[in-house]
Amino acid sequence: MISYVDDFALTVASLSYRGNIRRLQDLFVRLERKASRLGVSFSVAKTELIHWRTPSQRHSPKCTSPIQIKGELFHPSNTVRWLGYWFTPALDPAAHFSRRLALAQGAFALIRRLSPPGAGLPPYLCHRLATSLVAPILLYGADLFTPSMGTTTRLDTFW
Amino acid sequence: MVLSPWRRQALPLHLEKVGFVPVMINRPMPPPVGQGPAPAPVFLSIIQHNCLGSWNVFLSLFESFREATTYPSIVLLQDPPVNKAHLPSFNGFKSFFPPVRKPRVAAYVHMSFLSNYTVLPRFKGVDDVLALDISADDPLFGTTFHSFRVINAYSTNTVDHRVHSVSPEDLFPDLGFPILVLGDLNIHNPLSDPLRHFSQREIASSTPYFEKAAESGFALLKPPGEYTRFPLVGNARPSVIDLSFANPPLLPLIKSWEASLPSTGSDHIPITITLATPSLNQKPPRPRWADTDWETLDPVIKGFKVPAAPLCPTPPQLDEWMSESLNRLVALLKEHTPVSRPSHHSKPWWTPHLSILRREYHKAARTARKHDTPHMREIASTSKTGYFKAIKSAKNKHWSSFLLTATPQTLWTAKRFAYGRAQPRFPSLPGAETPQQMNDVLLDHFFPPKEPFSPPPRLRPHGSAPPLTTDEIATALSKCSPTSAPGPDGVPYSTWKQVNKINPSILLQILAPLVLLGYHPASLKGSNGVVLDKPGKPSYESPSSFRIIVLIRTISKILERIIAARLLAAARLRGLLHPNQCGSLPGLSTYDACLTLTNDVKTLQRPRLKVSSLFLDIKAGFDNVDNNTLARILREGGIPPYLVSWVSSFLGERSCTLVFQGAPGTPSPVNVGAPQGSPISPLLFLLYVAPLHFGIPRV
Repeated sequence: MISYVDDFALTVASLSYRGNIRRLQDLFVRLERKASRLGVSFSVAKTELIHWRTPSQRHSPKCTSPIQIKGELFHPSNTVRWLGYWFTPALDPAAHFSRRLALAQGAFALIRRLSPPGAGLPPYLCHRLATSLVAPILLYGADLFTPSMGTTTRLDTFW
Repeated sequence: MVLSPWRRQALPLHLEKVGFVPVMINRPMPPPVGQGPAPAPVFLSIIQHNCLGSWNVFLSLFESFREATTYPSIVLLQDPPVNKAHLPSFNGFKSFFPPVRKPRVAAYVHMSFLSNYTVLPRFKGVDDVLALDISADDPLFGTTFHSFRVINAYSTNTVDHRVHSVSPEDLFPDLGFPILVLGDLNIHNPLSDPLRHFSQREIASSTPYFEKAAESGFALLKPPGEYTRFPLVGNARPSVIDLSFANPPLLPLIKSWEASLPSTGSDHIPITITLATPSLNQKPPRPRWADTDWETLDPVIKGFKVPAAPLCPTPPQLDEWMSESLNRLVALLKEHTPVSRPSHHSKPWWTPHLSILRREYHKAARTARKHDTPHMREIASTSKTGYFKAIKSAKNKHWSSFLLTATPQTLWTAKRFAYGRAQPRFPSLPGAETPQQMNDVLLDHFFPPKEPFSPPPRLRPHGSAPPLTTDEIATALSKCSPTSAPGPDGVPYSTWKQVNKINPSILLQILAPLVLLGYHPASLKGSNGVVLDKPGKPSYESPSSFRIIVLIRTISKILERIIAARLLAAARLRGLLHPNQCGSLPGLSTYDACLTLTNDVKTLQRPRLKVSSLFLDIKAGFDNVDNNTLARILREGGIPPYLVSWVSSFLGERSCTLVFQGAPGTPSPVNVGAPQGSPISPLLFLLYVAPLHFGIPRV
């Protein structure tokens, strides 16, 4: 189990996904019992489940069995956003970077608004805005995921 | 209520039957209630104007206030200019408008008025009515009323000639406190305009409004026969459609109704309604901490002596010592700090040339109204176009030169301008009518009541507490941002940094006894709880659509940082934090959490196992930290007793003043939760939830 302040991620492994679901359900009940002793509770509506796959399992059938938590069914997600990172079952970096790219393009539009042709901000300030505003948005998560060649080209060419 | 003889004659018979009585205003003010010499009267002036959806009219109106001696307190607009659900801003005023795509009414309230009164905007989910509830702690106008309401409406009948968009019931409520109703009602009636002939349809559509007004006791505030709308084109006659009404509790407080402001380019004239002074208790202006006179203050700070702390005090004794020492120091700082004043330079792009053009245009408009000839009308129209074009080009020129001469410091201002402001959302909670009820509902949501904490009867110095050093204070101060929002006393970090630079012993002498005794005094526990809206919620009618950020006094946060550093070191030494806990700890960020997750997944996948993850989120974590449970966890974990006792004292018996639009501003005791916004809260939360990690297998 890993946590970031109040966000928790429970990871289990077994020979089958159904086995995983049973173990996760057991773990959740244990956690819930401990949490209630502290007077805190988990917000069930925000719960998400993911079944991880290796790239070689690309063509094998997917597991769609849901998990039951406090009487509610949660189906496995294709994309989970956790702490600003987008995870897919196969840990595909493109899923993360395509979203970062969309956010960065929104920020870049702002710089274009502030520097119309022949007027606006001086170039060195545009550069400063770009490095301090666009680059952090674009590169968040680049420490964990390695973008593919195609993604790198897209990240490089829009500005 | 006196009715002049000629006015009675002009009333048609059937309207007199209704019982509606117009009131003559410009009456003498009632004698002030209370003892002693009356202070200089500061009247409450309210402006009413239809902007025709024009930015230029808006600007002309607000610019015309500059020539007056004082700014109006409230400006109520009908048909304000709207661009992408945003209304224009004007420095010194805060705007309120219905949360719809194209609001048809708006209210601008002056900041100095906002700082003295509680203004609660009320929207009924429609775009053409807006009510402001104005209240204060003291009774208003020298009467027994604590609040009064101003209703601004823009009622039109464009869809169906017989039906107006605002119903009489919405306009004239039967409530027992003072109400002022005004707006562009688009109704024609002999009562408001005795000198004109009206069609049967006009009378039929307007009578329900006057009937309902009479039934609820409202009286018309307007000298008879004064037109408020002069159509710009065609041969349409001038008319009286900008009406204002007051109910009996408010009537004696109305001072005047005037149309003295210059024309703005709209076909309506701006109307000024003056009321008596609502309250004589004005709050003191805020100090400008950036302009503190440190040169004069330097020798004073060097010679400042903190009174000796009591040795084994009771909690109230230590509270008293703390508040006395702090109050003396803050009073000294305030003495050498100038206070803020409202600026008259609200539009930086305004030029003297524009003032000349505006004067010319007003003159031409007046002449054209007086001598209505085609030539004069043409001159007025030309000068109007010239004036408005000059405004546009001055704005463009100013913006380009601002961008061209931007510096790294003003760069972020440019970014803020380009992004624009988000539309403000105000809590509108069903079942909570008054500001106090709203305050209570929000408090119950953010701070669910729990078992109170009782402090020890007498405090004793803890032998285990290492003495506080000036280095610790300097390290804590170096991490504080000068732009961080200050707490209830308003003193920013930069002031404490300067004080510590001049005389490091002051903060040491004030804070050292608190560390030694393991106690957080009551004077540092008062906070402002700013209620912020969570973005992207479908509805803002539930307290869960809002979150709270607690602003604590900066001097308290310095102590919290010092204790947080000591507590973290002690917790790491005793292994109270699990290695898998990330966030708010030095060197453990989101990257570390995600890297651990992916690393675990890949490691488990290697022996061909199937791996799954469940993502969970703790509900309202910080607010649910229980003081007694946390104290037990820390004590059992072997944390030094002085830290445990300080943490219990810090979390217990807090007080919080909620800050939201229309908040009553009264401090309320709260007894639960780690305050969000305190530097020590994330660490306390991590220690609180650490037992969840222990006993769960690594993966």
